[in-house]
Amino acid sequence: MRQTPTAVSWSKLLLSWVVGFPTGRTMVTPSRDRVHTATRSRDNELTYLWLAIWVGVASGLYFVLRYRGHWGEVDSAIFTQMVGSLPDWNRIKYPNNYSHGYAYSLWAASLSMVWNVDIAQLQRWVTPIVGNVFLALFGYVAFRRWLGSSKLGLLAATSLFLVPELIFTVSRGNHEKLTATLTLLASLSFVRTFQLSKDISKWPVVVSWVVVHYVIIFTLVSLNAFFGAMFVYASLISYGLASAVLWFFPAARRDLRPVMRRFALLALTSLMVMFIVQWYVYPHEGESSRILASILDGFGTVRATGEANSDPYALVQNDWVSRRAYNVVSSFRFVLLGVSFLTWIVLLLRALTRLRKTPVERLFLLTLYGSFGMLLAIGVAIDFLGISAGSNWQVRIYTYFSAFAVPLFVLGVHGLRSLLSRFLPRSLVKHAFATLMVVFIMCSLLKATLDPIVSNRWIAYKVTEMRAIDFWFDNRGDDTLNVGGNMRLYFGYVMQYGWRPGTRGVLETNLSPQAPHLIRSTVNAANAVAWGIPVPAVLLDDWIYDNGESQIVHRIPRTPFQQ
Amino acid sequence: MHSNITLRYCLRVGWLMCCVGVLCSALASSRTWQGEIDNVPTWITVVSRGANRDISDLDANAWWTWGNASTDAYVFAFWRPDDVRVVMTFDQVDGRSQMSLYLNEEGAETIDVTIEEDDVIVNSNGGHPHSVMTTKEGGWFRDGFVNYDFILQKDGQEGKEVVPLDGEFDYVLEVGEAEPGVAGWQTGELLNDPRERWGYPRFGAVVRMPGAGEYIVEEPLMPQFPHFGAGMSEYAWYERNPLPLYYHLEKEKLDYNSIVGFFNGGMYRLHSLSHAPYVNFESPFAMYNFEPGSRETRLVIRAESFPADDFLGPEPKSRTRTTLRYSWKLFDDRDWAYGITVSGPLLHEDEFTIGNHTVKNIAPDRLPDWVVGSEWPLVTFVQPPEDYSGAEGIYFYSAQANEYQPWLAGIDNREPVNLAAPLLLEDTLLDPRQTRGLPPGFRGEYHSAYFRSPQLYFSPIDQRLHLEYGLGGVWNLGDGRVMRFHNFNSDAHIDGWTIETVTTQVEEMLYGQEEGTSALIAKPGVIEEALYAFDDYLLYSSQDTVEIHRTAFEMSEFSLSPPTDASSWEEHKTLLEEYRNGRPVEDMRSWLEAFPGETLVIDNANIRGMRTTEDGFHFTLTMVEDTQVRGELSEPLLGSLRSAGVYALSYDRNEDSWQRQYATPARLELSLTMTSPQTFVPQRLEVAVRNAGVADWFGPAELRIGDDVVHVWENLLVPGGTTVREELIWTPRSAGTLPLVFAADAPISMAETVYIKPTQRITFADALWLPTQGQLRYVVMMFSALLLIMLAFWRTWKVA
Repeated sequence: MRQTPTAVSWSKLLLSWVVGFPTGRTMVTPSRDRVHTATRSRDNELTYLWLAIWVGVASGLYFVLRYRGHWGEVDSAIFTQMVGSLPDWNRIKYPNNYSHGYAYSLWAASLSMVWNVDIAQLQRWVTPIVGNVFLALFGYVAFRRWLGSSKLGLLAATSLFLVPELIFTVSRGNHEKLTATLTLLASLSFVRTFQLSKDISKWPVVVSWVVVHYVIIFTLVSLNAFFGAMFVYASLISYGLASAVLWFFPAARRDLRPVMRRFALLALTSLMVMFIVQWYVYPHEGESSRILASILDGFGTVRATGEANSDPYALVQNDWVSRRAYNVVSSFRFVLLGVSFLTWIVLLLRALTRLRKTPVERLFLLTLYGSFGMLLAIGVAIDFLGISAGSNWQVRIYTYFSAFAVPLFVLGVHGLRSLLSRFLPRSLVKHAFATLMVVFIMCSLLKATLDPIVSNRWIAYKVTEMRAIDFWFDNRGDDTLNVGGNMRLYFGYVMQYGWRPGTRGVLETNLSPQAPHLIRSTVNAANAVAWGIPVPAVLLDDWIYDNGESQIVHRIPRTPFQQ
Repeated sequence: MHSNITLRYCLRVGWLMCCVGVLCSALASSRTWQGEIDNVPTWITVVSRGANRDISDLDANAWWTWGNASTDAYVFAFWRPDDVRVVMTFDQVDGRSQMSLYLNEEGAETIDVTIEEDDVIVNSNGGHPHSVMTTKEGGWFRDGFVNYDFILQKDGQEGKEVVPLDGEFDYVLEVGEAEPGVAGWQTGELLNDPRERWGYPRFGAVVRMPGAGEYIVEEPLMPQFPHFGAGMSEYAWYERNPLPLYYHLEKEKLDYNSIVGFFNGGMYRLHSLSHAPYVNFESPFAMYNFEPGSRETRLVIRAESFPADDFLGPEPKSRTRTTLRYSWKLFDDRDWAYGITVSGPLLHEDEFTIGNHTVKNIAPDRLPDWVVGSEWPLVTFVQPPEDYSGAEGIYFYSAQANEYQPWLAGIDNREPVNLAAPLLLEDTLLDPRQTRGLPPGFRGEYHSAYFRSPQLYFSPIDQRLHLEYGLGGVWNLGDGRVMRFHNFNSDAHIDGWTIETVTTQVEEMLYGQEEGTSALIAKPGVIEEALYAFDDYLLYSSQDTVEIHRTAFEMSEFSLSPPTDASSWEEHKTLLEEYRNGRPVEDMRSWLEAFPGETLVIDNANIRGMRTTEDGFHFTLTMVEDTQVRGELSEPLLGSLRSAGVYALSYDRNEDSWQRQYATPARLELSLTMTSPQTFVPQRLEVAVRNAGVADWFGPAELRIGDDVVHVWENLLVPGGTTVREELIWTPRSAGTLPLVFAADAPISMAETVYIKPTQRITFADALWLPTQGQLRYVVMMFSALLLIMLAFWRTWKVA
């Protein structure tokens, strides 16, 4: 029978959680080496590993099965076409290749050829599952080292799936499924070099991890010169932050000098690897410098006018059925930001008060969180500049930030759960948290799949729509077909067949005179209602094709010259 | 500083002269002539290459006698002795003469050249010649005539770009003779074509047609080589051809001129963005003289054509575009008299050869007949004012406008606005609006769905030529005034002339400009004067006078086709000579004098709202106070009407009778019919506008439901006592009870609101089944995956 806590005990416990976190015998002290998996059996670790893979497989399966593999979106469509062109050219630099990196095209094309799977099918069916499994697997192996506990590592790995942006990122068919997941591996190799270097006898293992780290950095930058180098940027910022903090703690600075030296070496060598790839292995025609120039231009305009050039977030909210729905499916974002930030503050204060006793991986975790937070803030600022290179920097950097926010979130939740277990039945607390996480995962999946129930920006298409477009191309040659108010069917067509309309015919969304025909379908009509935009006025009796679900209609009244 | 430059210049000249002097004295195989060409100081150094001839004793003034055009070299310096701009070296290759021409930056820069013992070494551009001319056989002359069988190969061109010379020829031009001493054809082809989808010239040809003007070419600089000259000439193609290679001292550039001819009569040219045989763009561009042997051009036919699916053509690419400008002169050899322009998807039917190339187009000998004899969907007819001249015909008010092509391709149902309402341009300067506008003094008529061979007729009423079956036209009188031509009964002839003041402005952003350019557009304006011709009646109205004649007249005095040959051109001249000026446009009332008969004159009155009816015509007569009526037609036409008021008058030709009615003002009643309208679903909307008054109503109108503009009528006509119906397609955007607005300048009665039912967003069930095509197994599999991940989370967060 548990005693009812008094007001004093409440405050003591709260204080102990806030200040002494994690404390007490019942709490796991994951950062302590003495706890480090000492009591964990090999079987348990295997169970956790399988659980993580289970989550990854199930998430990937849901992503592809939600639309029966009939999905398409902008980046996936572009990459599908680019990957499809690579085998024709037999080289990594070819016309219309991805200018920021070659590795994804190479990887996907290799898989396609080795498995003899059509690139479009690979992109729609296989790589989403691979991406989700990578996320779970790499997340688990990395976080169990960062958090010093397999159990917490599992919780953190599964928590990655509560971030819908991460599921979307690793599911869709572009380089991000590898850059996001390999960043986790990079963090693992990074932390292992420091953890193992305490034991001088393990130097061959340390060297191996260092080599692995550089290989991963090389791969990351080869995938994307900018986002692949996120960990390098964050490492450099972390080094700066750590150096600045240690300036005020001379004793700790002395103690940590070897660590900082190794840190500097690792970060700077990674930077060199990055430059080697960008300048020599895959010089990408000044793309990065153009982006940098447009960022500087944007800042100049903002400084001159005092006003933001654009507000991409207003547009994002239009993509959802309502603001409330957007907030619900995005609710974990606020939970993650709040809990991780609070935990970060608590742990940071604690680390600063016991700098010399705080494990080095904990220090790195805190500085990396701060660094990615800074990058996120920069991303938000860039979004408001409205530069040509895109207006979703925050969203894309957020995925990397969340990968380092999740461990802190798990530490915070674990502490909170332990705290609540003092006052409430343990099983009740466990069930409550499990239920909450199940709700979050459902929200996450709804958002990650842009489910029509909550989203207006649909990614699904129907086979009958593709049949209608096929009919058009077979019979109308190079003529232009209007596919509705957005690019859903355009992207869908690329994902279905692996090539871009325009080589055979043209699909467009503008109601220009050049596109006198348009495709009508139940999905297009429903999507138009969702967006709140009218279906273009069409001639209701002038259909040239109908397969029961999709029609192609002539939308301009007959003229003396109509063909 | 200045003295330093002068000193350096003197030293350089002295040094060069010394070198030349030393060389001359030592070998006497090169010699420099100094003189002037078109007042430009010129130094020509003749180098006897290899022959070791002594040329020092030859005539000092006739420098061309110092060398030959078979082995020697010529160095041309202008302005300064060291400013060498052209170097020519001659050689013999397999018994054929060859000339290599060296330039630097196409003649704009000095050539670095070294004159050696018996040769000339060009150091600029790696020593590569800019072009090489080689005869196909023999020397530069054959049997006393200039040899026009040669090939000219050029370097320094990559697509449309000028690039450094690399020793590989990028463009080849081949010339052949029509007869000895007369260049009969030439073809030019781009060899270095790195961007096959870019639109730049790839193939060109010129053919001398039978009966072309006398072949006269400018005098060459050196008689032994008849293709080169230098100076500041302005080319006068109607007099003589310029030399094929002409170093222009004003432009400081070497011009490669057409060898066969260019703007002179009897030339048939192709200027194509694609290689032969499927030539496009300016193919053909032909000049006809209508007088054998004359170099004058009396007819220009200029095409702008692209076959269907030609990726080099403008949009819409999927339809064949054949457009032609057909302009001819009549009364003098300088000014254009008339022009027609045609546009349609007509195919080029002929296949013929020019030199070694086969091309698909319309053969030169039948091109005019083909244009005039073919049935075209879109036709315009243009008459410029006197003294409008130019080499390429009439550019304005043209069926060649890019903006008209969507209509012609059947992908835009709106007739191009600028046919009935052209832009009123301020002058004849060319800009992107030229094909859609009329400068002051220009008159244009059109038909946007003609499907006939273009025919013209002469109207005895205004004594001018018109497009037969034209839908209407506009004459830009300048200062915002136009004469509008009406074809009220849509027959073959113009039956209404109105002088209007227009005030509507449109602004367009022209290519390359940062600010919009505005112009008046000839939309219906305020009528100052009008004259109508129906049945046996001619009706004139100014603001305050009406004059009606009942008289016998013809709508057309004669018909004729645009001239296609010498005889039809002469016929045109003969027929139109006495009507060169037409009737005075500023005194329309005087036109009636030529048609005496029974008359009616009403002072202080005017006619408006003229329209034809099934059996006659109808108009509104407005009589104000102090109306004076006189003439024989008073009684049959007006009956007892004398008092001030607005009257609707109709004439019935079957009964030969007039009907008069007091014109109660127009009152419009609008009714809408649609079945269960709902948001985002296209609706069929039947609009009926009834005019309950007697007076006609016409004017702009707009139908709005809620915030949606459902339809705009530029000029809606609702005759008195009738109902106009129109079916519209509309997709509502907003649900609920929405206000209905019919914006028109008339009293209107109608329902005030329309109810639009909302369409529900996609349901959960529909969203669930969205991509699965109703197949249950996919839904089961999807839910299984969802269950798996929920279980995994449940287990993880419960266990861990």
